[in-house]
Amino acid sequence: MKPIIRLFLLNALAFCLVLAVLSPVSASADGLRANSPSSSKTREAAFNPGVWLLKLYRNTISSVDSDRCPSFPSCSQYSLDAFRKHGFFTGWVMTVDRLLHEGKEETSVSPMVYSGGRWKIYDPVENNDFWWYHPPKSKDHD
Amino acid sequence: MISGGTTPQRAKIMTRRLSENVHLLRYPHPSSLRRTSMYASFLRISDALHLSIFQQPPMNPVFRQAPRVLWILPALVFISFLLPSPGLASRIVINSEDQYNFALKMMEKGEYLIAVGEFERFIQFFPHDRKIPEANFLIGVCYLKAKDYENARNVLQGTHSKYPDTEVGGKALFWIGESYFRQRAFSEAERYFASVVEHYDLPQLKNGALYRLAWARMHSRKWKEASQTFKKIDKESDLYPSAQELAEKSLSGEDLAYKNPNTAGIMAALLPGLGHAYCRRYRDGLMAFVVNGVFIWASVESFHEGHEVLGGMLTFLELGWYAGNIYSAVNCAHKYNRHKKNEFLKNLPDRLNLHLFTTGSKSMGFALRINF
Repeated sequence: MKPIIRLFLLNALAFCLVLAVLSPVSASADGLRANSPSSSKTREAAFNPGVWLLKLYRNTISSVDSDRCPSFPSCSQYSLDAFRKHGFFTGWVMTVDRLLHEGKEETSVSPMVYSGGRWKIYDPVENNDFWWYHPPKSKDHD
Repeated sequence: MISGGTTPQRAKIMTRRLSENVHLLRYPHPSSLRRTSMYASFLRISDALHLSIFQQPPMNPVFRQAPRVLWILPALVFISFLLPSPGLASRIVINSEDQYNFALKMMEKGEYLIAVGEFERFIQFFPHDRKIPEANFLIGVCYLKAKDYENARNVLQGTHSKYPDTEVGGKALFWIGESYFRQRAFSEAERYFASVVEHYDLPQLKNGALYRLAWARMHSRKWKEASQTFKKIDKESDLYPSAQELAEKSLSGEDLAYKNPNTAGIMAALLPGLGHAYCRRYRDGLMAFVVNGVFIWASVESFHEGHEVLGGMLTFLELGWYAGNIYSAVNCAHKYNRHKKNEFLKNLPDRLNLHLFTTGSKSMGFALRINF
């Protein structure tokens, strides 16, 4: 088998694996986005590999590293929020998005806030999911 | 002590002396404690002669405690005189008007949660006052101004359901829409403002709802619909001049240079970084291109060298970078468009005076008397 075909097949396999493994996590997180008041608590209780990795990073690397993130909240906090709000897969994609766009160019579309002794770009999760995520209504007022 | 004489004589002398000093034995003074040994001797003698000198007469327990009680009671009576008498307290009469106005004053001062308490006090003590619907409505407005939107909507919805065919009911519906407008949930806000326009013919309320409806449509980038809505405002309304101006200017929203999010996404999928470049974010685009390029190259090399496990791991990570690149490009386009729209709307005048939708007519009520 030619290397290029093998690469394609392995990529396809990896992609399917990702979907198969992560979809239930993501789906359960989506399902938990229902109206129940305990939904966030239950989502927190469900094992999320993204949150686990983030906590590992924050407890080991980030604690001895200085705060160099130009955005507020910091990238790790943003990632944690994204994982908690949208589940593993979407949280992962949104984390990558944040890492790509956290530069100076973001200042043209996002406000600045003063935090930790310097000005930072205010870029919470809500600033990056506003065009597709609408919080569920807790009560229908019709 | 006793010397000479026979034993009966000594006993007589002893008895006489004891009877002379018996008051000392019964109620010995503390200064005479040095005589303790003598008392002890007397005690032994008294017991021996069965004189019962030291046996105190039994006392009633009440009388035994009487002296203490007699001191405490006058003290309590005296203290009670020092306390302010209810008859001397200042008397304040608060009628329903005072209570309502005080709640309004708190609201105008920006003490919204205090105002909520005062309006609730008004409802509690003057349940038959004509301003009860207004007070219920203002509780909702206070919650809204305190940014407690959920509670605000609950109270306003209750007010609207209770008084559906009144001005207060219409205003409650308007403010539910306003709560969504402030939370930038413009489609929901549109729904409520449209409902006010449809069901209420009160000119001020209807024109205000039309004005807000048009603004919500501008936020949703429905420029033509917004322009049409502005044009529906009555000529007699104070909002008419502003509405005419906005009807004209809102159409310019169509010409804003937006970025198509779909185009950005497709471009990013074809070549990582290209979608960012489309949104004029060249540095971010370069970063996306380099990171994706490095991971793809590393994956290919790993498979080429026969390191399938490493290649699989790198491919897995690359999938994240690739998907993130597409999401990021689409997100950039949306944020770019939002920024453009907000900059445009910031320069448009919003002349709606929401204060007009909170005040109501005056009425007389019952009186509440409170003694302090």
